[in-house]
Amino acid sequence: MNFLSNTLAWRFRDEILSGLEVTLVISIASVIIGSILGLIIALMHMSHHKTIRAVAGTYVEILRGTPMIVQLEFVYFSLPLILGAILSVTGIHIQPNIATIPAGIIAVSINSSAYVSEAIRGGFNSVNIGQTEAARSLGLSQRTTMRFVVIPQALKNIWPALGNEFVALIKESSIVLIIGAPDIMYQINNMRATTFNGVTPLIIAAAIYFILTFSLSRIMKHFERKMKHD
Amino acid sequence: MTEDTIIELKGLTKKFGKSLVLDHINAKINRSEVVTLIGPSGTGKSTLIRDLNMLDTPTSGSVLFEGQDLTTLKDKELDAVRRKMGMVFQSFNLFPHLNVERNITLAPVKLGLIPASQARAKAQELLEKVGLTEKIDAFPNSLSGGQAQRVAIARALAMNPDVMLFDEPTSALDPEMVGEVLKVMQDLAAEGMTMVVVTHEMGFAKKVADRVWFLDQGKIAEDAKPDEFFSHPQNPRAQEFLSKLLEVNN
Repeated sequence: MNFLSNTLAWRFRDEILSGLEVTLVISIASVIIGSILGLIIALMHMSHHKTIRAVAGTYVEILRGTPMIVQLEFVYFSLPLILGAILSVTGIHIQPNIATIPAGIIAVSINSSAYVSEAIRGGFNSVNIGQTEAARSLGLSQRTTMRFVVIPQALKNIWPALGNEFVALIKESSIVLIIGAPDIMYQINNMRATTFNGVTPLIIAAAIYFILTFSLSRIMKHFERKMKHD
Repeated sequence: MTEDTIIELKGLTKKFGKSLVLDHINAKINRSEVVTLIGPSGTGKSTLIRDLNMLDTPTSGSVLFEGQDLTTLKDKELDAVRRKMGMVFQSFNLFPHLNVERNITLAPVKLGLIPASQARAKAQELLEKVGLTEKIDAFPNSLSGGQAQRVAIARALAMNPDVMLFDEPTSALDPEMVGEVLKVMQDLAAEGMTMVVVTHEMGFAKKVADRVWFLDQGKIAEDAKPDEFFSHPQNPRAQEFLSKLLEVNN
């Protein structure tokens, strides 16, 4: 017991746990919001309308072509300023602010939605057009064809890509420390600064992230195997 | 239009960009007739058969099926027509995530043709027809090409179609499997099924077809009974095509 209570991890347990909580909140919220947004973007990208396709394409290209750190700082620093400027034009003179955790969730979700939409689109494109033709030639409607022929096959291809994206999201969410969101990395950096220990805190951080991503990828694999047996 | 005309093409034209694939085709197919489409590659055989059930949309002209112009129908209205036109593809296109039984019964069950409780019996009955009852629980990836194509035929028959369209049904098969698929098609023809078959199997055309359409440059260059066509082709292109086949076979 004496040994355990002397360890760094034990002394900083409250900070580490609250950091873990923030990381989990940002990650889970971003997975959910990013997936919904990603599905919408993917559907737009597969639309018959040229303009809608172009909007979705541009959205994906910009988000994949700019660093996440720029996107994050833009949400945290620039968005409130732009919003303030717009409000002042309409005669309302207040300067809006955004808290670090919501800013983190918005930036990580939007960034992730671009990758999720590409995973979904890739999954649908990988289903041979002959599948749709065979189903339609039997007289099945577009909707029934999607539901019983295309989506089940697409999902099998989308799922592993989605799993990789969620794992990446958990790791990359650590970037929110630069706007001061108190996530795991933020707490670990504090720990390092106060204890002058340059090794242990980072090993703790690595271990926590590894446990999170490893568990998630196990869960995704479990469902992947289930889908294969259907 | 005579009583027993089931399909009629009027000025059927298809352009892909600037290239004219089908050039004002006028033709009729009667009930219970077996028509084979033959000709060199790239002459629009597959496009023509795909235009019959609107898997491909013609540029102009009309396709009359049982008196109804399909080119004027909306997507939803086409679903009802397609139920009556079974189609078999070169690459089988079985649904890989469903077993043989569900491949066959997905459409008739979803479309209310048969209750789910009778699905297995219906699948069994159709598999008997194509000689594959033992494969009812198999998944498509465990079937040989010939077996897969026979299941695909059973799947199309499950909708009780009035016409069966075959788009090069044996072209993707290993030679030793061609026979088993042609046998099933021959049985189907003997039962009086109306069939349109794009094929390179001249033996099948000779033996089973009522008429041969020789397609060349987007037109039906020759429309003849098989014995006339194979012994005395009128069209010079058809003569050339057949003599090339003979060279290969001798």
